[in-house]
Amino acid sequence: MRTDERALLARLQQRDDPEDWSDAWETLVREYGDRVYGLSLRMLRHPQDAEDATQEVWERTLRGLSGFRGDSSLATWLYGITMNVCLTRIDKGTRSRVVTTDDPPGDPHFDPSDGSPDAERCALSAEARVAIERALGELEPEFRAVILLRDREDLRYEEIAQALEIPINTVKTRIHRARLVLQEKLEAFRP
Amino acid sequence: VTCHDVRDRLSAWRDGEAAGRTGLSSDERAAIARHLDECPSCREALARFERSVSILRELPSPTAPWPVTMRAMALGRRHADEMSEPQQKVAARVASVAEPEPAVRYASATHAAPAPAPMEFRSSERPPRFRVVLFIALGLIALTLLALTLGFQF
Repeated sequence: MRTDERALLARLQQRDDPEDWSDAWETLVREYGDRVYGLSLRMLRHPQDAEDATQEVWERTLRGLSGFRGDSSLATWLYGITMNVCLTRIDKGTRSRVVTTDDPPGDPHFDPSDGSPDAERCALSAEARVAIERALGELEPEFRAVILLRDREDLRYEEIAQALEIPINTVKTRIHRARLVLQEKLEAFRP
Repeated sequence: VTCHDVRDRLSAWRDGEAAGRTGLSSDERAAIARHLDECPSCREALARFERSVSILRELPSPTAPWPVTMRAMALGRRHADEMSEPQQKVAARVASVAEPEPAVRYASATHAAPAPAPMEFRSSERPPRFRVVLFIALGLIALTLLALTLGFQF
């Protein structure tokens, strides 16, 4: 765990100074809020579901803080909670518009970054973005989770295994298969 | 190694190269590297992997809607309020005890209220030590008066 993360965690685990705790919490939310929401949106593929999931992630984070021993980085732990919340919601299938290979995305124009300042700077066209998001959405959720953690959040295989509580060999297999599937779908968008 | 062996491990090999850890043995890594030097078809497969990874990385990051962030912040503020509540209750209990020790007053004040002014005791706020001395003095006077009264009688 990085030194700044360790310091932030220490502030979040103390109970003597509510004001400092509150500042630390705001730092955590500012630092990871967009990423937690972005992962939720790409997993659940619907803004309202992503908003609900994000709130649940923060609630679980709050409940879990005192028990978190810092075995992984704060980011890995947070992303683990995020994926757990999203995969559970997808499993339940009732509250989210689940996308699987059998059930292609309902919204053909789904673009999670639509309207974000980042989108305006992106070299990819809006059409390409929609197609890539669609390809991501067509991956099975477990495969989508590993590929997002690896290629978007830059987690190492061991960290993904920790976050998702799966064996590292499963991580390797899923990343490999997910990339093969994506590779076929993304051939049309060669730079 | 065959092309099939290499393709099966290409993703782990590529990520290991990027992250400094392959999850493959050094022999396997070296064998894959040699094969890639010699095999244009596997090199092309690697290039395709690289392209799909870079396309995913190029995707813009969504920004959390403002109300979502505000709700998360509010969650924290409520928690911080709950954290300070027990301290406020302790402070209230201490304040409800007729005359607390000065040290206790300071300890509770650091959490529940601004630092107190330098201690100036009003008559109702005098510390217990002062009262004990007063009590003993009054007791001694009472005993003396009693002894004198009894002495006069006998």
